[in-house]
Amino acid sequence: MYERGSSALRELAGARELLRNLTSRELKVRYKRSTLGFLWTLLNPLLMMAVFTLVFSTAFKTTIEWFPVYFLSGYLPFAFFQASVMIATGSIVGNAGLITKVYFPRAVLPLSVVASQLVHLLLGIGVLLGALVVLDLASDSADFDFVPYLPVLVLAIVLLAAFAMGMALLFSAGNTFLRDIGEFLPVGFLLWFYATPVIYQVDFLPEDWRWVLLLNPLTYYVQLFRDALYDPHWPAPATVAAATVCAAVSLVVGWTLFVRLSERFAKEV
Amino acid sequence: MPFDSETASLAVPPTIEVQDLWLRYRSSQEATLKRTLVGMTQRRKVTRYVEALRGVSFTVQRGSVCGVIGRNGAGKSTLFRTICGILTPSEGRVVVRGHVTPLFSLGIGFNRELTGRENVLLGGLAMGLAPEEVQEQYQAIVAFAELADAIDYPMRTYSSGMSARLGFAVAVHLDPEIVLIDEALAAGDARFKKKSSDKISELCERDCTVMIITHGVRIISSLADRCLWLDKGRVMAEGPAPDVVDAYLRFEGVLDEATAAEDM
Ligand SMILES: Nc1ncnc2c1ncn2[C@@H]1O[C@H](COP(=O)(O)OP(=O)(O)O)[C@@H](O)[C@H]1O
Ligand SMILES: [Mg+2]
Repeated sequence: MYERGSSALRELAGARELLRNLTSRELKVRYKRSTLGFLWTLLNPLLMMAVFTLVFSTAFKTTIEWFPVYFLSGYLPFAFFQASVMIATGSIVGNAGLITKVYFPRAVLPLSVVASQLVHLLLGIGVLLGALVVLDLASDSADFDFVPYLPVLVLAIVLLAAFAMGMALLFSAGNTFLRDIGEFLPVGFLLWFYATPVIYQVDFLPEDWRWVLLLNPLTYYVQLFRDALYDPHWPAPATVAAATVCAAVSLVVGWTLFVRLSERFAKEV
Repeated sequence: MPFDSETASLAVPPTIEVQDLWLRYRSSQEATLKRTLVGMTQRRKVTRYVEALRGVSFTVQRGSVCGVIGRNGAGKSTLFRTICGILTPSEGRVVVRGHVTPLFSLGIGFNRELTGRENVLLGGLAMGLAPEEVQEQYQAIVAFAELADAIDYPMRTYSSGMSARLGFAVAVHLDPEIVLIDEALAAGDARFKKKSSDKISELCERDCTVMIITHGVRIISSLADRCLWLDKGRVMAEGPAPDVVDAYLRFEGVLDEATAAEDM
């Protein structure tokens, strides 16, 4: 039982088992009715990669080397973020049955979504790492020496997960009071996708438009993943700093607003 | 009789203490951007406030059974949700000394797509129990609810009586200190009603504090020590169960107790 009046963070820590249960349920339920089941976690990004590679090597004649690797190292973190936020946004409203019947720290609902998406992200990255090893061995021109830079990968995952948690908390709480948020998200994320250098490089954009990328936190996270995987090297301190600041701000703002608004969830859902 | 000084003066502090509790719902139409904008431009109110509880005060002593009666919409379920911490008081104070196990009208249908088994685990964890604690009682819960195979089917396939039985079974088996039962007995058949009222008496002997909402005044008279009568968010009376039930029936003009009892 959660003692009321104890700090919200301590309550959350006491709900670990609930968080674990919700996360594994999220993972199980998603693919319950599809024949290929869990394989879709891996098939989805690979199919996206195939489509974009086809389009960009025929129609647009991209000059980006190893485009499939370039694409996946940006698309995997973007897709993780998008799925986390979009699914989490409906998590409070979608669990009205639980919220109106029992008191528990509400934050476990959006956080379990992020946790389950994190599992998908790790699987996707595992496959990408395997492909990089094979490419490195099979091709002379390929140089994907990511092993010394694994700490960069870990840092990138941790910071992106923190950023996604803050946003998931913010959007799920907001959507409880303004349901339009959930409706707007598909278009919002389409815009966000094109404002993030997933299928193009930063310097492809005219100078006048670069500020959009600098204001977009996802640019920094995608850059960190590329620094770890596509073109392994130590990241620029400015990239790490920007990614850290965005993650910290997102967590603090998301958590504070969520805690403040969560008192009213049971009346609104 | 909003505050019972006789019981409050006892040395043991009451298990549940409610002081001047107000609870306001913001009863808006869905708060969409369109409605909000329309409301702003036309200066028309799109939200209405409902005072579900207006200055409710009472105490419940440890180990006692307190019945709660009143018309539909009187605020009974709202009161229970506030005691469990699901709703936050708009004003006033709620002190609960112990762990509350809530139980609501249609049982534990937290997620109707999940099986009964998964709902039991989810509910137990949400109430803050460890998975082992739920597991330990699992067999007893299923046996008491008499669900047999149905326990592994999604709860959307259950009748309301079945989910009420499961909900009741969970609440009484997770070693509760304080149980709040909201009309859960109403959905069971006659035999299950008997079984559950026996179980409640048993809990009371174990020092468990029970609050129970029901339209069945006969159940209140036989089980409850004290009774709280709510009407339009206010306490009409609080005291020994038979007296309050009597006053309630007289007030409602349902003097024939048998008629009222059939409602249960
Ligand atoms: N989520 C809600 N939003 C707005 N009003 C509500 C909500 N829940 C209950 N109410 C109102 O609060 C009052 C008390 O409801 P409730 O506590 O369910 O009564 P009871 O359980 O005694 O029948 C009713 O007028 C009801 O319409
Ligand atoms: Mg009710």
